Amino acid sequence: MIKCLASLLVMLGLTVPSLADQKTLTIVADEWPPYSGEQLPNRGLTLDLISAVLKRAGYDPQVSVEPWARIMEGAKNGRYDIVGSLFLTDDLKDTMVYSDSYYDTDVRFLKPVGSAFDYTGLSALKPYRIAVGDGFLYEDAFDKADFLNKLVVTTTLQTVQMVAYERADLTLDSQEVIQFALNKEAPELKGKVEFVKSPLATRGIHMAVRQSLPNHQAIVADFNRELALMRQDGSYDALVARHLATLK
Amino acid sequence: MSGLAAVLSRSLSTSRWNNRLAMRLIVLTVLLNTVLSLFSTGFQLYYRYERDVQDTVAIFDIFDQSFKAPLSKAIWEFNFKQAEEIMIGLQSRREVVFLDLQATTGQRLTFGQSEPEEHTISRQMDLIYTTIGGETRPIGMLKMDVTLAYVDQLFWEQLVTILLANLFKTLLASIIMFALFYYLVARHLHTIASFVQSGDPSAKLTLQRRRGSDRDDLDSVVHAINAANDRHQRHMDHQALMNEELQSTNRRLLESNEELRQFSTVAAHDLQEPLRKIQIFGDLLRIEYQSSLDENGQAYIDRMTQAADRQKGLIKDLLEFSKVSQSRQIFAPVDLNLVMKQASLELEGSLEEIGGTISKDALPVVDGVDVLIRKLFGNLLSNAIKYRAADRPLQITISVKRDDQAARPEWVITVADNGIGFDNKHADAILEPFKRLQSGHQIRGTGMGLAICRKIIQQHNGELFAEGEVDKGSVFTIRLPVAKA
Repeated sequence: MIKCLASLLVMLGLTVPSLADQKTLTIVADEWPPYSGEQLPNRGLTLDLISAVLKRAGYDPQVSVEPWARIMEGAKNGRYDIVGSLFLTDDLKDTMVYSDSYYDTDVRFLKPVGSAFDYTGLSALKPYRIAVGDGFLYEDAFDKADFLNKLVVTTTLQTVQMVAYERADLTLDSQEVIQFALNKEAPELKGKVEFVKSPLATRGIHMAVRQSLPNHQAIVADFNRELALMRQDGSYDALVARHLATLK
Repeated sequence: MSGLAAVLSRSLSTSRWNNRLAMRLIVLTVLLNTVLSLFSTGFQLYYRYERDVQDTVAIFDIFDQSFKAPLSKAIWEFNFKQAEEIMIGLQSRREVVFLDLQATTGQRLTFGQSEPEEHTISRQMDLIYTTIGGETRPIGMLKMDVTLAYVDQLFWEQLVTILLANLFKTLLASIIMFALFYYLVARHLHTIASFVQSGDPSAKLTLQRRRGSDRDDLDSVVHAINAANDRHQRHMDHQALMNEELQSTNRRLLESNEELRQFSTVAAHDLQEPLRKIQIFGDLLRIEYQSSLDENGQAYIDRMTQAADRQKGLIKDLLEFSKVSQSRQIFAPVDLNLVMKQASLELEGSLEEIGGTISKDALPVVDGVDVLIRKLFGNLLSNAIKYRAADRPLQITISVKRDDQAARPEWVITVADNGIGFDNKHADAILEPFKRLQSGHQIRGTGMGLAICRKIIQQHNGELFAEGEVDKGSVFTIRLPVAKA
């Protein structure tokens, strides 16, 4: 009897940490307000939403905000399990498995107030100086359009400021990202710039699980399932609305 | 090194410090070196200070070359985080104490604190961005304050360091120089001084020193002293010989003088004796045989007795001249006023007879032989009376002045008259014995009066000069030493 009890304890001792490892997921995203950011409520819309969804799926998400280069290195060597706040791109498909889009956003151009510009195609952008973020992904065709006059800067706020002071003719980004910059970081520029009516593209925001994680497919499946359930029960809308409200 | 240490030890012993020449050399060296060091240090520090200021100010050029473009680009791109990092990098240089960036878009970044103006160099620099299209756009202004406090601090540190180092170096060099100077020069100078002071011309000067084959200055001095000593010795030998000869000559001269004196005395007496007999028998002839002699005979007797009188006077003057020449009487103060008073009294009758006058200054007291001085002035006044002009009253003027410009202070006494005078070319001759410018039948005299005057003056260490102008008068100038107080 004692021998049987000891064997059970040993088994429990071995199996309990294993279960705990499977449930704890390290989630990381870069500074990309309002979607993710160290200073944002619950570290931003995407990290809050991903955490909420994964918790519903029974996981224990550990969230952090890191620089993009560190995220890529950490995802490859297994330090991070999930990368949040991603547009769908082929670059990561070999190492990561994308979830369904959990938020759609319009990628829009921003122009100085009074400019007659409207987006009609990539070739129409040729005469313009376009401020872009270094390493930012906007839309595949735009990102690859080397013939355009792109002024590469560091942050979205800089691109907006350059347009506001006519050091650039256009800039572009997720509409919510630009709104965050205008409302939270440089409200004095709000009267100087305006969105172009036609968007460049509407992009879905995803999370991705590293393929080296043994149960990555299950995690993605759990996430997609619980996300759909949240959309259905209204908790998704409530969470998103709560974050979008902070933009105003 | 041990040799130098020994030299130092010997030279720096307490007794050596009274080496004033070496001390003066050191003091002058230290002073000169200090002055030169001050100039040199001042120049070096000035040059270094200017260079440090230039290096400090060079931050503006460095900014223009290295920081301005990236800063302008960062501001142009509104990358104020990068602009801040650039400014932090700029401020990491210790000379940059204040940075104030004002973007044309309103942003402002400030680092550090502005310092008082005297310690800072401030410059405002416009930030201009040139777009890819070549358009230049003013984007802001950067005010940069650069402090010179570090340069000033470095200046004072260097000043103190260099001065202390120079002071120590100079002090050390001076002590070594003192020791070397004493060892090489001063101690030998002492030896030379002792040698010269000993005054032994037969000794030979040698210095205890090591030296090479070349003769140096000390060798030259030793050689010169030894050569001078040899010359001195020879001179002394010669002098001794000369002294011996002089003494011998002097002895012979004294003997000769004595013989001459005896001769002149004897000769005078012997000469006077026949003259007296000629006069006596001349007088007897005139008295006892007057009636037997015709006029010619009586005239012959008169001429004979007159010639005998003149010869007698000549012998008398000759004897007096000889006495004066051999006079060895002791000098005493003689008041010339009393002398002149006495002489005037003696000649009062003659002066009244011819209507002559004497005027004189207050005369001094001189050292001399009273009798001779009386004789001197008596002769000069008699001479003036004797050679007076017939057509005008005699005026004798005696004046005196003191000459302190001469080698010794002298009284210059002039006896001037308005007599017949003489041709000045005979000024020296009339002072010679037996020299007369007038023939015997015109004015009686022996020609010894002025010669006796000059001999008296010479006996009193003075001089007598005569000046004359025919029919104007004569001036006799006496120079006598001023009596010592």
